[in-house]
This record gives sequence, structure tokens and C-alpha cells, in this order.
Amino acid sequence: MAATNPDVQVTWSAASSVTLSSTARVDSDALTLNAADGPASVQISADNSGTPSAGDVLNVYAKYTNGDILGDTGDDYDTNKGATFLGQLDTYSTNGEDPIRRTYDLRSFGKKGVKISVDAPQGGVSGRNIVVRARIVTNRQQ
Amino acid sequence: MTPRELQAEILSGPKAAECAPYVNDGSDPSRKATAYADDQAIAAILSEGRVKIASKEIGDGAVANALGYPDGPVFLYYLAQAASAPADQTPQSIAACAMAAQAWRSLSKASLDVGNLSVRAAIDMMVGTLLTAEQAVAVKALAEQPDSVSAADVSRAMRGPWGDE
Repeated sequence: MAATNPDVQVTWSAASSVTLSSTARVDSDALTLNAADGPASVQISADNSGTPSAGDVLNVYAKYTNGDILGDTGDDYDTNKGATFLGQLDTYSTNGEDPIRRTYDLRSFGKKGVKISVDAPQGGVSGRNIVVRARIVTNRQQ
Repeated sequence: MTPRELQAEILSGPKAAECAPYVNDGSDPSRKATAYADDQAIAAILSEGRVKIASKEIGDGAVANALGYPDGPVFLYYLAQAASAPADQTPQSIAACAMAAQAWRSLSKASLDVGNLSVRAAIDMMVGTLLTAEQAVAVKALAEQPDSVSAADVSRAMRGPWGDE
């Protein structure tokens, strides 16, 4: 059976990146998973718009959905605290670099959809914003 | 020490001139790539010889070792003598005797806190009678601990967050 690796840019309100200028949690647009998708991964890019300082990190989460669990309208994604923590990217050189990119495995198999969720605990401090981009690749059976 | 206090030390403290070439407040984008190296340089400058005073209870053995032999035991001998009875009944003599007696009792119980500001002041008052200035420094140094500054500390001091935004 042949397989492909379709890749898709994660969007944020239809934009290809999101700029975190506050500490608020931001979710990507929903990505519906294909039934033939197997293992998947997401590559995250974090670029500090200013001169980094200790604590200028990006927390990355995955919010999955199995559909309309509430039985109202639309798919229901994991909540902020229920989201799966994927990792933390540090833009300060003690532990990281700027810009920094890292790829995480997504346990998306058997799920209906996913959103990438991010926050920057020091987003916007002294004008330092974190510019985030993400790209997902799945292994799809033909 | 808060980030603001460290910032003030970096910009206007005794080592400000040494730190100046490495000050990176983020206002110059061309220095973004050197930020961590700049922070490390300032951290190294500030950390050299930097100590903090911590609570430290000591006994007579620690004093003897700090002053060396025979200076340490000799000091303890004269301290015991000074604690035994005042030279006269003037308030100053009684105070000096009482202070020596207190120090002797605490040393005997290994409970003289040389990090306590009052105790450190009392040690300074013994200079010229029971201790030399260098010996007083040596005894007080028992309560001193390295107080290194990290690059991360410097980064927060220079570029925030300062906690007061």
C-alpha cells in the first residue's frame, strides 16, 4: 500500500502565522484529520521579535476533538487545561535560540481534528512578541 | 535583589564602567545576536568577589580555625578573660564585659550567629582590644556566601520583565 506525507500550514484566523503580544492563549484554526492519516507531526517555529530575555518561551499544546461531544453545534476541542502539552521552546540562549524550531509528534491517529494552541508567558514584555508558525505532516495510506 | 535593583547596579554601581560595553537593553537590534554573551560578560563582572551575608551559627572551634593557631585560641583566651569580670564598674566596662560574656556563652554552645547584623557590629567593636581589623573580617567572613549573578538575572534586569510593568 502506497503512502504519502501531505503537509499543511497551520493557520491562525486564516493567517500563516500568529504574533503573541500578550500572555493570552491562542488557538490555531481547526485542522480536520483525514481518516487515512496515521502518524503525524507538527513543526513549530518561534521567532522573538525583540532581543530575548530569560523566560521568553513559547508553550505548545495540541487540542484534539472527537467531534460534537456536547451534542450542540460543531466539534468540541480540548479545553486549555485539558490540552496535551507538547513542549516549550526557549528563545533565550541559556536553553534555546532565536529563532527556534522544533518538531513534535502528534498523537492524532484515531481523532477527528486538532488545533495547535500556544502561549507566551512573557509575550509583549518590553515589546518582545513571539511570532509563531506551525506546519503539520501526516502519514497517509492511499 | 529585584531586577530593577540589579539594573541600577549595572548602570550606576561600582562596576558600571566595566559593565558598560556589554549593556544590552534591546534598543539596538543589531546586538540581538550577542545578547546572551553580553549578559554573561556582565554576570561574570558582577559575580567576582560578590558575597551575601547568611545566618551562620558558629562555635569556638570555627573561630580558632578562622583566625589560625595560635591567634585563634589566644583570642578565645582573652575573650574568656574579658567575660569574667569588668575592669571597673563604669557602664562602659560593664557593657564590654557583658558583651564578651554573651559572645563566650554563644561560642561555647556553637550558637554565635555571625550573620546577625548586631553580632557583626559587636565583632567590629572588639577591634583594637581583642581582635585586629583583619581578624574581625576573618570571623565575619564565616557568614559570607558566594552570591553569583547569572546571565538570566542580567537579561531580566536589562530587558525585563521587571515585575513592575
